[in-house]
Amino acid sequence: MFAIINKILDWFKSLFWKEEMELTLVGLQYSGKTTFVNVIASGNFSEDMIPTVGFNMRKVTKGNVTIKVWDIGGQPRFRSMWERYCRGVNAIVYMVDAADLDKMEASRNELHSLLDKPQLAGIPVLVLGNKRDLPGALEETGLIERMNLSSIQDREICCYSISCKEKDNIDITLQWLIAHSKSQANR
Amino acid sequence: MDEKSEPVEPLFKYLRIACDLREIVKNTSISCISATTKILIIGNSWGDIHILDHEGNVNSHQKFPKHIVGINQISVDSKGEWIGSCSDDGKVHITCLYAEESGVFLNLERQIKCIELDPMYHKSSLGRRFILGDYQLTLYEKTFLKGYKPTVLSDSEGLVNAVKWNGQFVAWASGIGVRVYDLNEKCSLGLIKWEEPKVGKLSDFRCNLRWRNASTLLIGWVDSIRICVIRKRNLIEVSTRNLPGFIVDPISTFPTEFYVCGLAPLENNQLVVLGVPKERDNDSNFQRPILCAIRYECNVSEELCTDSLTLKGYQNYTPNDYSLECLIDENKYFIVSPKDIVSASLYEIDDRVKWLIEHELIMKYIQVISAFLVGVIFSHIFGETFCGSKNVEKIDDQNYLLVVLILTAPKNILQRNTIRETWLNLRPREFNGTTYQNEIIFVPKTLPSSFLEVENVEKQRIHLINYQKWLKSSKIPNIKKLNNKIKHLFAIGTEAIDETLLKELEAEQKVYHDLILINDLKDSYSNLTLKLIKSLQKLLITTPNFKYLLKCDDDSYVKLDYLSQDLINYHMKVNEIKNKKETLENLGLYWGFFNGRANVKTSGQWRETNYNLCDRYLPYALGGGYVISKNIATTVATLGDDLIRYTSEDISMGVWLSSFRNIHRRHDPRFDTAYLPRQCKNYHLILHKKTPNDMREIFNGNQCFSDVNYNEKKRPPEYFYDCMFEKALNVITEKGGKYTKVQITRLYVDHLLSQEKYEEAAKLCLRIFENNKDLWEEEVYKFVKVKQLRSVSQYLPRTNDCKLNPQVYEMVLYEYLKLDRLGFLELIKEWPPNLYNTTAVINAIHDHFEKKDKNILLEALAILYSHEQEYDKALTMYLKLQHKDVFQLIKKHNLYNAIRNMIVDLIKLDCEKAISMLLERNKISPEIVVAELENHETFLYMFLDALDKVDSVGKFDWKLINLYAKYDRDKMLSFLKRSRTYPLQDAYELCKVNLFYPEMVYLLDRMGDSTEALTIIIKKLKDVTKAIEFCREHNDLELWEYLVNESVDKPEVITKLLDGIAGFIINPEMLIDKIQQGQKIPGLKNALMKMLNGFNLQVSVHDGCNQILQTDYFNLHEKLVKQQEKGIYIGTQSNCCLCQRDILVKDKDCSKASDVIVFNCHHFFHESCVPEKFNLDFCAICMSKNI
Repeated sequence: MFAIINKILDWFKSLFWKEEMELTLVGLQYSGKTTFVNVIASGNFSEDMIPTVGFNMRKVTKGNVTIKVWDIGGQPRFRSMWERYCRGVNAIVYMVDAADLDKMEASRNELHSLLDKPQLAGIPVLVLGNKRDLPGALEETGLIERMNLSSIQDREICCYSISCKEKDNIDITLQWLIAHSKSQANR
Repeated sequence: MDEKSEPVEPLFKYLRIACDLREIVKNTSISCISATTKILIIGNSWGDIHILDHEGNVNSHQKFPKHIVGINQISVDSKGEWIGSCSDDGKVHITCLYAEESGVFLNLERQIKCIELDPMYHKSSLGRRFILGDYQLTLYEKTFLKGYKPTVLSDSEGLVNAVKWNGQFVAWASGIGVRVYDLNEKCSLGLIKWEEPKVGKLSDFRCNLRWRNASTLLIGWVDSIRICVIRKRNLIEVSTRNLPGFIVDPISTFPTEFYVCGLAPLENNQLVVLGVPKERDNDSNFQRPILCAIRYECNVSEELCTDSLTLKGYQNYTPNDYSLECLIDENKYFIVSPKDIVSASLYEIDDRVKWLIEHELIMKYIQVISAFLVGVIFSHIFGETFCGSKNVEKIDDQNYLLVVLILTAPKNILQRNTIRETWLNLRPREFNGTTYQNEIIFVPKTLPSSFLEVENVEKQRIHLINYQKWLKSSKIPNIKKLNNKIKHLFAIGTEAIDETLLKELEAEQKVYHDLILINDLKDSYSNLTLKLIKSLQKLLITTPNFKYLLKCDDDSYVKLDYLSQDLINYHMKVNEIKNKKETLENLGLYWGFFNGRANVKTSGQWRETNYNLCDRYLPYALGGGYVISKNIATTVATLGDDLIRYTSEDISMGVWLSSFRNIHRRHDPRFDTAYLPRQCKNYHLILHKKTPNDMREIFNGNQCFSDVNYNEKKRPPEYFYDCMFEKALNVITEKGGKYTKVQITRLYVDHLLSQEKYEEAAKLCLRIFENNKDLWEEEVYKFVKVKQLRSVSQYLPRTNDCKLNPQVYEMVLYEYLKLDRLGFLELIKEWPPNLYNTTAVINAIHDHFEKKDKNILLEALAILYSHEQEYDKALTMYLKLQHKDVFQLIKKHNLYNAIRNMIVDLIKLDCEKAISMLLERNKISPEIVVAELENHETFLYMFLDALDKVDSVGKFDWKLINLYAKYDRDKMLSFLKRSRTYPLQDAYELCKVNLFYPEMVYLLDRMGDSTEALTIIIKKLKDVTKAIEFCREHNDLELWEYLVNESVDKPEVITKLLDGIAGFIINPEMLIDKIQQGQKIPGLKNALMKMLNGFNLQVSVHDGCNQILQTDYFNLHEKLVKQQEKGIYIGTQSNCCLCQRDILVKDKDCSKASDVIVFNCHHFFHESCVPEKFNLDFCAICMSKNI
């Protein structure tokens, strides 16, 4: 009985307290950005994705928060556009393939050069180390060190190790994202 | 510089959008476009909608409902979520970009020309409104349950041409003009009528509408542009005459010389307009479209910049085919033609600097950041004079961190009040307990030399950057104020001010208790230094306990919170270091924006007539605001009466404090304290030259409020302080972009020149300018002025790709010519002649010819003449000089024809070189040389002798023989033997005359008269050995006989004959027979014995040889026989050499078998194969014998 009332309350809340956020998902190719969007949108994991050409736009509703996601292609030719898509968003989600240690440096350089852009000053960044289910994948501490995240001082930055396949830590990721929606950030 | 007209600086850079767009326009054309900050939405002529990113990559995941015919218009809401499209097929689609939400689909069965979504369409609570335009203008609004409700806003003015929505207003164009509709009041705000064009109809042209901001509408239609502002109407008018609350007010209308295809705002009063020129080309097609930046003022416009654009297929398009889309916030424009999209964005600073440099206009552009040497002089002014009054002094014994001393004029009560109301209320706040001393604050340690450490530029830079970072990071300050740490005082001189003003001041003092009234001081600008001293003295009495003192003016705005925060941190760090005993116990602080390069002003309000220390002011902190520590304040106050007083107090302070060893001079770019504000930066702590109004704005958070009022060019520079140019340069390189480096260098060169450090200046030029021609030329003239071109000469660029004006090089040469002849010569040798005008230099030498330096000048002339290709003159010079370079010159320039007349001189100059030169093949014919040398036999001899060695043509052999006879007999014989081309008889005669017997012998021999030759040998040379030799050579019996006959009467000769040759060559009998009886021959016995021995030896040798031969024969024969007796193996592998089949038959059937013939040479044959006619005794192949 209590649960039903709670649900109804939630529904009312979502009617009147609709919150919105916009985030941009970037990262090197094959790090699992589109997969991540699919997972948070529908919970479906599919192994074989085609590389994103250009960008995808998705709207994901979680509770009373509507998340607009810009999923940008990670291939080098699209990287010059990252900055444009990151302008003015509530958060930048940076996807890293935690199991691909060879690409870690390239990934780090791309992240730091992106965050050096003056237009993106102060936008919170969430670094996700995907594919933690794979053997040899880095944990959060390893990622923080390898991505040199401690040097980023001028903004809020957070790092989670997730697995889209096993749906590991997707919940805390969503919690973080929701906490950074517009009204939350202003609070 | 170009005299015609300065090139116009480009405003835009263009980029064609490519990638997938190229595929799209291959088969269709773009009919409309809409842009958001992230994406471009394109509608094409087939009714498809494409979503692209700004580089042209298509997002193919998004599917949009298709129209049947070309899309007329696309509209996007302000958030870029909803996209509406309309088309002639009567359909209207409104779709959400994020697929999740359902859109709108209408089929109205009439041609919809325009669609405009409410910019707030994404807010579902606002009714999802949109407007469609066909022959009427219709507003659609979602109603509860009933779907969309249309409201016709207008239906009587023809086809709707364009609609643009902006908040409560909708601007739309009909067949007669532009209207603005107020959605709140539901009425039209009036019609802006448009004139029919001279060519065509108004409705043939698309109207271009654009809202610049909430109330400014830009309209471009046909060939005129109108800017309208929506204003609120006078309230009385509204209520009395029942008019709409707003009015559309055209503020500017101007015609254009082209058809307008689109327009967008640029900056204040500026527009970007896309247009097509009205004039058509020869084929009556429209010309290229143009993008034009226009500044407008009332009804006047001025084109700032016009770029002609080459879009694909522009010839086929009319003005309506083009359109302009823009992102106002980014100043980004999209120029759209049916097959092409080009984005235009503003030139950024770096692009501009680059362009200016390329077009030699760099001086137009002055970067704010600069180095120490860009000195600025400044001070402040107080013009009023006032008289003093008595005031009551109370001692305030509280402990203050900071005392703010504000020098102010008596009547500036407004300023004082503003300051009291604004920045004096700021207090340091704790920023989440963070302190930043280590990252930002430098406190000098004492060096072993007992001097204080200096904060270098690099550190200054890092500290500033860290401060900026800190500023950004600390967004949530703790509101807790650290109170009662700061006190402020206004200092006013009150001598001779009028009573009323004095009364006012006293009243002010009663209220605020913050005035230092100095009654024995007349407040004027010339008294400022004294005012400072006196107010310090007073202040120290009334407020003895403070740590730091900030001196500023009443037009300074101090961010007291940040400044004192910094000061607290500084103080903490100083104490920390003092505790470690790493710095002086009594370390004082002198903190401000320093200038160490300011020239002494001798005129104007800031003139310093009595400053005679130097031609520059000693380094001082600019007077708009500086902080000193208490010990300094005390020192100044104590010594006050003895201190020198210059007019400006800040300069005086600099001079006073220059002598103390314990002062930390803290230069801080955050102090914007010059005579004019620098470019407004959020990190500035003190802002100078602010009016009370400015101060209020700044206090309200609008720091850069008055920044636009200043001319960029006049702004003083911001710099880090350093005494080393190198470091300054580094700063420029890293901070200010590479271009300003050059300016700095220029200034530094000036500085070095004024210091007479010419070499250094020249080296610097080389390092910085490298091969930049223009910079060099400019700088070189500076060296000209100080007559120091010599020092720069070796650094001047000389390569072909960077050649300065020839005059420059000539100037250098003249200077050398006048002052340093040797150096002049060196330069002439070193520099390629194409650098300068040689004729001019030659003339200059002639003008300055002096006997003293004759040789140097002659040589220079020679070199120059050879550059001029006047080689004969050059040669003459060299010969005059007796200079051996002449040969090189000849060789280099192939001057062999020119030297004909000089051969003798040349040989005289250097025999060996001259001759070797003359001998060079094909350069000069020997005939000429010989003819030239006819009168100089010695030279001729030397030449011919040498010639003979390299080239024995033989033409001059006879001449040479004659010369040999004269000069070098030794070589004669060998030459006679070698040469073939001289007349033998003449030679013989010559030798005969000269009694050259060996030569005669040779000649006779050649002539065939060997007997005569032998006679000469025997008779004249008396050389038996030679005679014997001679005879042996000829091996002529007659000669031998002659020799024997000639020698019989000479016993010693006979001995020699017998000894040497008898028995081998001639029959000894012949000789012995000739020996007369009784003739005494010395050593006959020995000779005979030797002869006989010789015979014996010969016989035994003969026998021995015979024996050896025989033994050999037998041995070899034996071997052969053995060899032939060996068997020969015939295997299955062996083939018959004729039929190539196996020699042995393997079948059992022996019928095919045949006999085998084998030869010693290992060739095998079937007997049957060998034709019968062949002789079976010999192998047919190698002819060896059968076994």
